[in-house]
Amino acid sequence: MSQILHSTAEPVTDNVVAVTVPADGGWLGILRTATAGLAARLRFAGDKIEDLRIAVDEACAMLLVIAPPGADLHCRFEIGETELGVVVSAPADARRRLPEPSAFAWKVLNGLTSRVEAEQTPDRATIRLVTELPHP
Amino acid sequence: MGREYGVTHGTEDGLAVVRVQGEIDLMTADALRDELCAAVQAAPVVMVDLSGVGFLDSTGVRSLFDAYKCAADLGHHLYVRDAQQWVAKVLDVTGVGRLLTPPAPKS
Repeated sequence: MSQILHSTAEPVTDNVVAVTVPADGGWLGILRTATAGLAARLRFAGDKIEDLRIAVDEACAMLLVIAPPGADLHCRFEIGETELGVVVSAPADARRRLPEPSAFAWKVLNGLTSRVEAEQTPDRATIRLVTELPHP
Repeated sequence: MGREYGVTHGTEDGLAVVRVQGEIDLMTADALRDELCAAVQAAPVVMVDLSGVGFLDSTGVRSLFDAYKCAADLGHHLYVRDAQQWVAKVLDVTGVGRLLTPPAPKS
């Protein structure tokens, strides 16, 4: 019991929710629903739930387009003290690149999140987006 | 509101109206672009009613933008109306919303 009390007193810095799905567009709707569900549990306001739902969809869609067939898409929600980080990654076909910075997808991601970072190695692409958690 | 993507064509007072419903994402965006490009070839002015669209991401924005260009190449016009709040937000943040805004009615 003392352990439980101890753990609930800890700041929620290690809370992680990870979802892995096939890198196929048919799973986007499931990821959007999961994202909205988590955002609601974190007490995001209605419009912020929608912003996050769209942002995660955008990041996943960019990776799906460059992922080879049969790959997995990893989506990791890192619940910090003041921010929610969402890290989306998938194997990337070496001949395909994430879209140019001027692409609509980046405009949406930049418009709906606090910040966004992307990285592409020869065999993998990762997008990390960060949004503020609601104030308690 | 159903999530199933669908498009219905009609006319209102002689204006071609395309009603879109469902979720517009990577899976449905190409079909929407093809529908809208066909519609603007068939009519000089096409109004796209987005009231039944519950979700639209940048792939859907691309479809609307491509259809806008299809129309412009022919000297035709494509407009949208009745987008829900978050759909309008995605259109605005990409700068495409203002291209698709119908002209104010003449008084």
